[in-house]
Amino acid sequence: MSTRELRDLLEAAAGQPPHRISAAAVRRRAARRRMTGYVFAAAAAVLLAGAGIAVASRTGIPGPASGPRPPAGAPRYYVQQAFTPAPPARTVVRATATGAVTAAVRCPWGQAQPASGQIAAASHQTFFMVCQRVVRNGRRLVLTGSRIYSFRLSGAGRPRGYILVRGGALNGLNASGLAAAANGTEIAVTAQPVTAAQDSPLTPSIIVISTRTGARAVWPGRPAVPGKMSYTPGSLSLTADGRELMYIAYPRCIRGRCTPTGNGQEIRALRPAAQGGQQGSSQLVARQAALARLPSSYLDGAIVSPTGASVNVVLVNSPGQGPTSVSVVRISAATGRPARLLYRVVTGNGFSFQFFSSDPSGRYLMLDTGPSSAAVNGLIYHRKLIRLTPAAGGNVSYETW
Amino acid sequence: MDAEAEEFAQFVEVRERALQRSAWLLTGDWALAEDLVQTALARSWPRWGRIRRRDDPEIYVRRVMVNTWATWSRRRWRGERASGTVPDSAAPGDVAADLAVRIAVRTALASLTSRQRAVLVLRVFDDLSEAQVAQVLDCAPGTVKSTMSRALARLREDPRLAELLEQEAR
Repeated sequence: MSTRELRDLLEAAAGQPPHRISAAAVRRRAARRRMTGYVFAAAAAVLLAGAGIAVASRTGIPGPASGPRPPAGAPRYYVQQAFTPAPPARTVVRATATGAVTAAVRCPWGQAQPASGQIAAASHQTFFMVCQRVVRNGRRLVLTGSRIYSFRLSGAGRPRGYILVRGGALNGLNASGLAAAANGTEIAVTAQPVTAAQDSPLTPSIIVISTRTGARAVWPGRPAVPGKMSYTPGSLSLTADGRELMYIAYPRCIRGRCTPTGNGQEIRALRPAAQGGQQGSSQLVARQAALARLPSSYLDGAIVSPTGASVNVVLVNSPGQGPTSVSVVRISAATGRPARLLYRVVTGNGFSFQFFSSDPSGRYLMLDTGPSSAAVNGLIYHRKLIRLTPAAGGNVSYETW
Repeated sequence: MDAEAEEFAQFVEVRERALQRSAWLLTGDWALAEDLVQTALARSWPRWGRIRRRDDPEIYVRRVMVNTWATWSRRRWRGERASGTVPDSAAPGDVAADLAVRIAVRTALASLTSRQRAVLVLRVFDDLSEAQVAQVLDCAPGTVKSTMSRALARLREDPRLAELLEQEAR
């Protein structure tokens, strides 16, 4: 790449600024800065005179973040994956209170990297993660296999004791989603053979692994039939004891005109999760049409509560004309009806959705969403989104705690 | 309006778009880029009397801009940035292709350190000489050269940029 080619790329990327800046606006801003400086100087003088050295020393420390802080009960650390120019995603641990990076997460398997979005949290800051080994074949990167490891975070936020989970060697499989029971006894994963092409008609299998014995229960994927709607499982979550598995079945039509038409995502449950069988035998909990007002709306994430009594669902309402909104709604697992609105944001004409995750207690939900150009990353608390670092959600691909 | 204010207004009128485009390459966000340029200009305006006597006032403004951006990048929390604009509006041309270039370049630049990014933008995009970049960044020309070489080496490894260039070549 020559500097000329690079200049052309930078020129093309920079485009034209949406607004102009006037000298008058700059001078007004400069005047405001000066005035703010005077006010701060006067306030500091009053504080120093009134409260003495103790107060003075406190005012000398630069204040960290503005805005509300995460609640005290939230997990101390969270694992975060950031977008990088090329795979793998960069995986780090951050302190909830300060946002500081305390450590990087690595795979203890040669040439393997943490898979994007495939980290699941269990209690006591224990995490499960899918590591994928990718080899270069000419100019292409080829996935050769996946393994599931667990680790714990130390009091200082550093990963300790990486262990290959029993039954976690997924030879020849490409894992695409991961969930863990809060007690860590069961994990669930969606996987396809690594040989399956991206447009393969085969739907992924759901595999539940007992981390104590390594035993697996499998709900195999099936080839989609042309002209007939098939369902791809995603957004897996397990109850605290690992006995129930909830997932979203995303409809897919591989050829021709399929019936039924429409978005038609479904939240489905596998009970008990440790038995195996056919995905079609799962129990329907709720349909997109029953939860969202418009046919153009869809479900973008679902997490079952630790007891299995309710499911927290992300609903995107996209009317086409008029503002789009993203809502997090708690629905009853027994009736499939909405019980409570946890958070809602109107995102204008477009929206961004990166991820929705929860801590093992189900109390602290993480969400990365917002207008397409200004997504925010945070924790849902009393119908508000408390920002987590980095606040700009567009830079984060996944988080959990 | 006195001569100083008039000259400042002229400078802003002529250079603000170029400054905003460089700021976008530094920040990857138009709202932040606008804020950065306004801040740099607002910091320069009270000293404009002295700055205008220099050979190239723009070098001074760019220096303020790069230093301000370096300070912002070091902050852990950048707070909420409100925007009055509608996030998505209809745009002419091939929006998807433009967006692909923009995202690829923004992601590639994000993989550089803030120093490397500043050197690259000033040297390649703003076409400043090594001596001028050194003046802006307050370092030796040799440092500019080595930083630039490291930045280019890093970008050459970026598969998305390579793919874009391949597409352009076709």
